[in-house]
Amino acid sequence: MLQERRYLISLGIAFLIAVLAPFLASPNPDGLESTAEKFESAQDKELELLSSPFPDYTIPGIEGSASEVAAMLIGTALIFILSFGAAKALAKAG
Amino acid sequence: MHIPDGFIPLSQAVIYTIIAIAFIARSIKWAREEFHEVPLFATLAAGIFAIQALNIPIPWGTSGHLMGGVLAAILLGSPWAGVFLLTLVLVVQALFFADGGITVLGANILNMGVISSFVGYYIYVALRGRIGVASASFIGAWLGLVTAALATAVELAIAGTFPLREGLLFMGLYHVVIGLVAEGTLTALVVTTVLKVSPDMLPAKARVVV
Repeated sequence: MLQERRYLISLGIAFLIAVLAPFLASPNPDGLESTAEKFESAQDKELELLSSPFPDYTIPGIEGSASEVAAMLIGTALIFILSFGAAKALAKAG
Repeated sequence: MHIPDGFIPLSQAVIYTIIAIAFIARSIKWAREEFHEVPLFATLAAGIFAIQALNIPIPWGTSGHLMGGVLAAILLGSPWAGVFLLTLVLVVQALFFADGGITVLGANILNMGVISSFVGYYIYVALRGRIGVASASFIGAWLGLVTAALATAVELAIAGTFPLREGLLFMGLYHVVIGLVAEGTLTALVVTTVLKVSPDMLPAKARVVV
């Protein structure tokens, strides 16, 4: 199989995971959050400098799962473009 | 394991940022001098970003997901690939999705990008000749994650956010399990699949017989 086709299939799998993640992901806190809950760790809110455009992988103003799916699609596309651009700019031609 | 803003005071966060920048600079040097596989890198980055949103439940009402630094290091044949890739993912997560703080971005890059990639990759390299690629990548990814979790616990103890002993205990315990069900399993699965199906996509250094 051509390399191009295999990259397209791999990228398709990445986007499939991005779309399915909001439905399949466990809502439980992660290891760090669970540990923090044990100690009621205080968070210094003054250090929250910026508000993010898509907090917690949602798009403000859109309701429900569509919001999470859209945020994941935007994020996955953004990472692909950014890492392709950064890698292309740095990697030796070859 | 993404530390949020406010868990580490600014004075300490700055130190982790400086250390992280030194490693990022070295990873850029690696990308300039020893790296060719641009489509593989970008596809991996997209896949790792997506799968980081797929939290897998573990006991005690907790969950965890693949980090992917060891996976990137093994497939691209260098721990610097893990540093470079995780830096891009963590920056996007912090800036656009509020996943991991901005003041603590350096600490998060140090833990998940640098520590897990280096520990995991070199354990994989040391073991693969003796126990095979599948087992070596499983153990490397697993221990890379656990080491990063313990480093995070130490940083948060220095910050005064976690007590040292209990912080190490719980961070260690949760990530031993997360490492088994997510990091180790998925890394071994992807590494063995790519090596069997598409070894020609990988740099020569990463091509080994499964």
